Amino acid sequence: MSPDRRDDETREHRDPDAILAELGRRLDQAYAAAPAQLRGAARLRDGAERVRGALGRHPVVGRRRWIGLGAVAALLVGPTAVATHDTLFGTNPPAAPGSLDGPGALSPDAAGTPVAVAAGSARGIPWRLSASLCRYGTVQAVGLFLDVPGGGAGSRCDVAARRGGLPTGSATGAPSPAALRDRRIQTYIDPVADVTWVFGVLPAGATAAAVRSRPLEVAGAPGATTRAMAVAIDPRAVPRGVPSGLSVFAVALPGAREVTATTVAGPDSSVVLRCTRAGRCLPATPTPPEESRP
Amino acid sequence: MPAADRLTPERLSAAYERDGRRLLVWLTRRTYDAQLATDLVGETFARAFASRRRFAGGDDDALSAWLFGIARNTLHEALRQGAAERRAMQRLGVERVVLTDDELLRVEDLAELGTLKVALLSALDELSQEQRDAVRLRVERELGYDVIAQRLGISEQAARARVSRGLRLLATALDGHRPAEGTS
Repeated sequence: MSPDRRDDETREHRDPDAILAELGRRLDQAYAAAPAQLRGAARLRDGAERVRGALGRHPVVGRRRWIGLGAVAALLVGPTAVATHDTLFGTNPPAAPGSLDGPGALSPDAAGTPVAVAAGSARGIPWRLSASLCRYGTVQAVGLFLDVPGGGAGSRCDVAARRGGLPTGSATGAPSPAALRDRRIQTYIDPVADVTWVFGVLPAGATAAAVRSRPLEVAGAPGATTRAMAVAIDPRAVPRGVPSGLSVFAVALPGAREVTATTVAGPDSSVVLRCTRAGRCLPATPTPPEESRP
Repeated sequence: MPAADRLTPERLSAAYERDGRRLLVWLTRRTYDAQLATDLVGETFARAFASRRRFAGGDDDALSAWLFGIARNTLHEALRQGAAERRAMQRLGVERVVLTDDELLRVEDLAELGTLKVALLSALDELSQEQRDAVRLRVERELGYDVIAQRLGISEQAARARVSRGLRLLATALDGHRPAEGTS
């Protein structure tokens, strides 16, 4: 029986205070039962931040060295086994319950293990991307997931089928496998750092992404374009199932912003992909699609 | 950070007792969707728990401000994505509370959406035709965003954005009709 059904069937209608009390009880139980892994990760992060803070003030060690130094800090303050595992594999949250799927949501025929593919920092905030390969029949889609101190977002094979503005492939409203494959650009509004992360997976040969965005809260505010260099994926990810030749990018924009369009440049700086507001990327054509215009 | 300022699970629970109700009202007024608002309250506190070591410290007012900041971002994310983001709840293992139709109405009553609706519909002339159509379909006809998107020939995200922007523009008109958020 799903949690949704159980809620409906076993109690009288609640007033808002009773609803809040029920939610509060569930939160309290979860706080008490929070996995040791979660607490450990937080301790590890705190330790790494202390070391990073000290190093960040060092006159010789610049901010850009953070990434490698962060890994060293993690090794210093945490169990080696955990740090090594994290270097290779991405976070792998439990599969979302089926009750959260949209009608007709697609399930992949095969789902790879999330593997860490790149890391870096933006605006002084470390980020890490992991990827997994999802197969839907003959179509392959790469799920990309961002981890930052203020949370994480992206797609995994089990959650990639969310509708999210994608073109549908059936009468049920579920996206087609091709639409999942073409959704390369994603965003995450980081509540802790107050930045909007824009990240994506790019095809072989891509060199940079230009992200057009505007403030989410200010109607009619002017847009701005931010460029991000493509980063080749960690070669160690390839034997673990991530297609070779891919590159990724991540950029942090101040405040809450919405991405209106993204273009991806190739080796000769020509535009090779144009991506819509919903993050769906298609090969560049002389006339951009209506939706991708800023 | 002084021990008294640390955000312990117990202190977070106390903050929920204190702020949960007005957060639910605040989110219901901004989403016109009691179920979504309830999910966002849960997600806000799950994120707060996950990020509790990042709380800079301070008194209960500082904690409330921090929580509303998280709620605001969670709301923006939900409006952008077209669905409640429940990743932090899932990570923490928090089962969502699902409301019946009757319970949805009770939460909407708490948020006084009926009163808001009258005020809102009388202020629609302030909006562009596009925004007015989207807000009307959502508030007056209470249609889902997927249906609004179909009616207007736009994406679901665009429909959410139009309604969201329309509601923000109407905020001034609504201010005189709002009960103080946070009063119980």
